[in-house]
Amino acid sequence: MNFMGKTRLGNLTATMPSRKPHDAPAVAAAASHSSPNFRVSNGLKDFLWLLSDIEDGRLLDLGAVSQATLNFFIERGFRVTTDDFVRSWKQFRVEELERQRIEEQSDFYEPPSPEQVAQRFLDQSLQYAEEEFNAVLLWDIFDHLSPELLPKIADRLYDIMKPGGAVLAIFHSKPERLYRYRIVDNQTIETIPVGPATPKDHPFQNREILNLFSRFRSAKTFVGRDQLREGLFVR
Amino acid sequence: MWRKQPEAKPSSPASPGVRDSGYAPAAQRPAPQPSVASSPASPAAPAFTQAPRSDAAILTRGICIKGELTGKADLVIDGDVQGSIRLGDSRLTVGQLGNIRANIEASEIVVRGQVQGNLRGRERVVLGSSCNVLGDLEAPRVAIEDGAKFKGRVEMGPAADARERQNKRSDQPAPSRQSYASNSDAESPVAVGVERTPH
Repeated sequence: MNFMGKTRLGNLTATMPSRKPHDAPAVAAAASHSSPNFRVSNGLKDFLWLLSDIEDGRLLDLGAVSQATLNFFIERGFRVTTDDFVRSWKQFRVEELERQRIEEQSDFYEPPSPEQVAQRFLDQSLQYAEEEFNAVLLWDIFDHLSPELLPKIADRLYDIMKPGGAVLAIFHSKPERLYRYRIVDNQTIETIPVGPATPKDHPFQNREILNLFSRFRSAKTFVGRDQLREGLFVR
Repeated sequence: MWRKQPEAKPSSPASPGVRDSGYAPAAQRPAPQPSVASSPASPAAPAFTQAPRSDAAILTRGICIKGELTGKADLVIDGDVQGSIRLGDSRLTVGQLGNIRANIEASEIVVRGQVQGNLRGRERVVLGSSCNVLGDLEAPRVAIEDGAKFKGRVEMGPAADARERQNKRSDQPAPSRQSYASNSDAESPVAVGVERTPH
């Protein structure tokens, strides 16, 4: 099936994946999940539908590594690369502060601008070949990164994705906590709180999200009852 | 009918006369706690990692090895290793204090410490909750505990299994090359074959 054909915005909602008979147990399982940590994800459903025709695909998971998510995609024939981006950023910040503390002692020290710091981080991150991935799980990492980084990351993601590739992202209305995500089944995500997050000035507005991913061919957002916004972006 | 069954006496490792050849540092260490990921509703994290076998060789903290480490016995590393590790059909455990900068090949690889390099397990690779791994994983089975820190590519399941079988076939010495068959410690000239993804 033509993957590009599936991504036309007009078609996206009109031709939502029909629930296959073999999905019934998964749906029943999802319904039986009584935990508040489980949430039905329309974004995930569409994301998987976009990937359903890909054989021997490549997926980049930018969240914390999860056995369940790995198994989920490997069973579907994907080769998975994990890269815990928020952790890398935190580690970089610590090293950067230490470096600046040493350089401050020099008379010629000039503190780097946030853009310079962001660029320095990106010079050593997401160093993948162009058009390497069919899919990217971005999760909520944009809630926890410096604003200067975000457009650069969106651009870089565009470059490392194949045409027709899809990005699944999550944006919290109140990003007060760090979460880890685990795919439970075809339409259920488990959001696991793992600790407090640095509070953001303001949550993302829809317009900001669309601007960040403006290079992508199509963008679609879903807002859940829990005010969690999911974004699906197709290159 | 209701006779009480005689209770089996637990064998105490501290009892006199019993030689404890177990891996004391790991045994004394507190077991890794299940990570925060095991939220009340989520299924309990399975205990992937087992205690190292008591007859395993131990490379303790403070020991540093640079070069190629090969062998046919189980090994526990709590020291530093730089270079490469090839244990064939044995099991390698990288303890919480272990710090490895090497590509690792073994039948089973259990990581609880730091590893920078590619891991290739013939049977399985286990990443414990306290581990920090930078490199690619390749094994028929991969188990990752919640809280494990990992950056790299994962190849597991049938694809890795098939590749492993292929590698095993090429591991077998050719009949004309008696030197490999006679020397049990000789390394067979097999390339690691892990495609490296640039990070």
